[in-house]
Amino acid sequence: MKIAIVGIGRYGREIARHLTSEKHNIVVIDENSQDIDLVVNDYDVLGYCGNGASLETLTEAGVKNFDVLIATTSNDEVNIISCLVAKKIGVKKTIARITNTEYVKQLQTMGNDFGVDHFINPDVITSHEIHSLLRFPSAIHVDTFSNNLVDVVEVKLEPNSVLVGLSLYEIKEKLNVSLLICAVKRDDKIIIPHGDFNFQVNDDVYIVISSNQMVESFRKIHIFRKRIHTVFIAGGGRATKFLASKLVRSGCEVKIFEIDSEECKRLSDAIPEATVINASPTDQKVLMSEGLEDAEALIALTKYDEDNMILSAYAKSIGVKKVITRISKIQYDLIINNLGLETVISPMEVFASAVIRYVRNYQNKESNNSEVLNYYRLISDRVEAYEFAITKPTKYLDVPLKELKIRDNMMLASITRDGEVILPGGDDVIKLNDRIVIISNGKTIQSPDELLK
Amino acid sequence: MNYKRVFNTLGLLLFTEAVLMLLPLTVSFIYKEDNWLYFVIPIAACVLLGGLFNIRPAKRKTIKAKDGFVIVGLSWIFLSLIGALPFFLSKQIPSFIDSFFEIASGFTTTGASILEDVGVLSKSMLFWRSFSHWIGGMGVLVFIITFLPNSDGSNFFIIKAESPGPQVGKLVSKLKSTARILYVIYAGLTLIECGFLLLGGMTFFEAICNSFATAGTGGFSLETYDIANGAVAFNNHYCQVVIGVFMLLFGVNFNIYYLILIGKFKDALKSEELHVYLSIISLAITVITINLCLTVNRSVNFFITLKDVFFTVASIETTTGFAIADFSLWPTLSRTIIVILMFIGGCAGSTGGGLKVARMCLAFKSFKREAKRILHPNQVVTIKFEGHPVDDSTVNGVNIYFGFFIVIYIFTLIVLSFDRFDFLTNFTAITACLNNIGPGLGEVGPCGSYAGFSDVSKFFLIIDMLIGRLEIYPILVTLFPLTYIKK
Repeated sequence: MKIAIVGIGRYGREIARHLTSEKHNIVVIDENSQDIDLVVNDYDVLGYCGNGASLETLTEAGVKNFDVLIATTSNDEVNIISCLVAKKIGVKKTIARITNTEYVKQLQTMGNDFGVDHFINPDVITSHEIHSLLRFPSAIHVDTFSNNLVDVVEVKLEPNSVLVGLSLYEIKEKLNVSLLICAVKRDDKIIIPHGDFNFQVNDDVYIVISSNQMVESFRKIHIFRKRIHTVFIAGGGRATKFLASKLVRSGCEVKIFEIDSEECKRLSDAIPEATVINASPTDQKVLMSEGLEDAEALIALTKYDEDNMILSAYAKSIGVKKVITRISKIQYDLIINNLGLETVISPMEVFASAVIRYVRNYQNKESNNSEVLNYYRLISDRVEAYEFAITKPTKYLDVPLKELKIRDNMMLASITRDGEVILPGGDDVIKLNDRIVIISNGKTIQSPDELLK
Repeated sequence: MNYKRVFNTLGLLLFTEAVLMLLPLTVSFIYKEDNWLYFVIPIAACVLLGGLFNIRPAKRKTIKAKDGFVIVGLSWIFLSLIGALPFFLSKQIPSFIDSFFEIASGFTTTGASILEDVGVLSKSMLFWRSFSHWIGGMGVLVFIITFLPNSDGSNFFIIKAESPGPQVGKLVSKLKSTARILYVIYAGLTLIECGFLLLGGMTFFEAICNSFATAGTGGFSLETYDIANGAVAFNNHYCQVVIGVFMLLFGVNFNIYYLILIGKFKDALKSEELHVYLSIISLAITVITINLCLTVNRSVNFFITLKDVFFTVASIETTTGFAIADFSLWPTLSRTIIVILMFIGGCAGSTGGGLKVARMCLAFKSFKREAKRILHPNQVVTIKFEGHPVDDSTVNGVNIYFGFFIVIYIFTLIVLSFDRFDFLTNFTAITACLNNIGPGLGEVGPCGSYAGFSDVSKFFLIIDMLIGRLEIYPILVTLFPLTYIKK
């Protein structure tokens, strides 16, 4: 597809990075020629220097009749105008990054008039992501799909985990629990495990669970889902406001540490149930005196990555069970393990994933061959999950799964029938009108038939 | 520096050279020559070395600008060294340095020859010689990238290092597609010229080889035409005009052809560089024709003179180097203009050599700006080219490029002065090699050759040819020890 990205700062770059690997034709537009040079040298895209909201620039950059335009400058208004102009010259879908919540309502009601088909607020989605991570404190990462009925939870196997040394078959026999493990990451390789796969220490295991069966299954494999009651948030700001509101609504006790007194007042006004403390979030004495060692979770959301990282390391060292760190500027992939940070949120990555999901869904809908209902990327985008609806009778209906020859790099992750989620075992069958989710490691698929050899 | 990736790419280049050599091999079978072994040995060498360099594939594929330069520099050096083998092994060119000179002259599209009589070469060798112009013209690494899978953008560093011009850009988003489009236009124009030449009575072999040489703006011809004694080069006047026109076409920025292909005629014809290019050519033709008509023997037909001037100006301006008239015998004004044209060269993004019309435009505009600043020191002047502002780093780059050029020039001039020839010969020989033209004046004029130079001089002229074609930096970076030293 032909995709234009307006604004090639950190958010735009992350999107470009994801999209170029999918064989799209990409044009990036930015006013800063140095930023353009950097991107053009790193990724196979065409760069154009100019104001992405101006008709002249967009026309000259050849954006006419493009499939998608993603406006992600740091300025909401520019993004909106860019989408508007893009629509006028025939761009089919527009996505805007909107940071100012005041625009949200009007975009929801009159988005079409502004030419914005889809808008994403990075702070909101970051806080969603953090919130869902807090639902599974033992998990490193959680992806939710199929209308919130199915979760894929990433768990690292500690040495004392009961799963270590067992194979998938043995887990079912010995622990009497049906776990659907859709992928395992070992030494940076992704494997889709079959029955005889043996689990080792430090494996990153991706477990598919249905939201209501989850507590029971987890208990059996000794992964406890303790409800988190007390959350410390270091740093005020928009993301903090969204997150704190959500947490407070679900009954958590929230303490926010923010150094700017005006911001503290605003937070306190907006979320009266939260405890707002006017102090530097990096002041360890204050944190301790407020009871950090009893906190069940610390979310490091200050403006500075460095502060967040040190804060998180400190919290982990005094025994806070769940620590989530926000990092926007540093490339953290290599250091994350060394610093023991475990769960890191990058707003750019979260934003880019949301954009890619939208683009991919659009692409699937447009491509006539595809029957894909929904598409997700899991495990840092290395594994793809496709949701299909079985609408036509096929030869694999009503055949027990253990008799079907499923391709090596694929697996059937879940079957949703009449609103109920079934985690398929060998005896389960696929029936007409089921919705199924197929996990694929590497191969792009267009129809459910590709599951079989 | 990503050494593994550098050697992987080098290996890929050698495989490509092996495949390309299959063509002259086929020619030697077609003409029943006994030369097949002299191509098979280099092909085997390429495959072996190529395999060796790819034994350990690079895991980390990203490269930076420095890697791009070294890849291009080393590739072209290896390309020429191995490409010299057919000439050397078959003893049709007895000395290795001569063979190296000839094939480097081929790949760099210079067209300077150490052969006093081209006829000593058999057909397959002649084919390889002319074909090397075609490969080198658009760029052998650009050719390879057409086939490589889409990678991250870092292949762009390789293209930027190999392609001529002050600013190298892409036509479309994907590098591979851009390379493909360029090659399609290139091949298309070559075949069209071949067609026209066939209509003029050339044999297929002659037509395709001359088209190769025109396309790359190289200048190797298939025989040493005795133009001193009135021989009509390229069979007849019609063919001469066809070649003249196509030389001009290949000296134009290929982006313009792309714009025409996608229907943007107005944008294509609005090109500032194109206007300057055509103006220079028209002016040169006008002045030289008048000069010749007023001074030389009046009995020569005006139209023949005009045709000769048109051809020569086109040939020199695009740095092809074909000669149908001995311009070293022309009056001084005409010869001076010819030498000036040698320096200007073709348009950026074409197969022509020289400093490039685009650089000349930018340099001139920057001089104008400096002149204004002498009068108004605080005045801010924006330099615009092709309707877009050009940033200062590009303009500075152009001026620095000229500086390097002059330094290399002077250095080679000193080296050559130890040899036996006069100043005019040395001066124009270096001009012709650095700007990838071929013939100069004096002993290396259209009726002469480079045979008389010593091996040392030839060696330095080879380096100059590579420097000229690759636009200085790749060769300098490759040959400079500091590139490789880790502190």
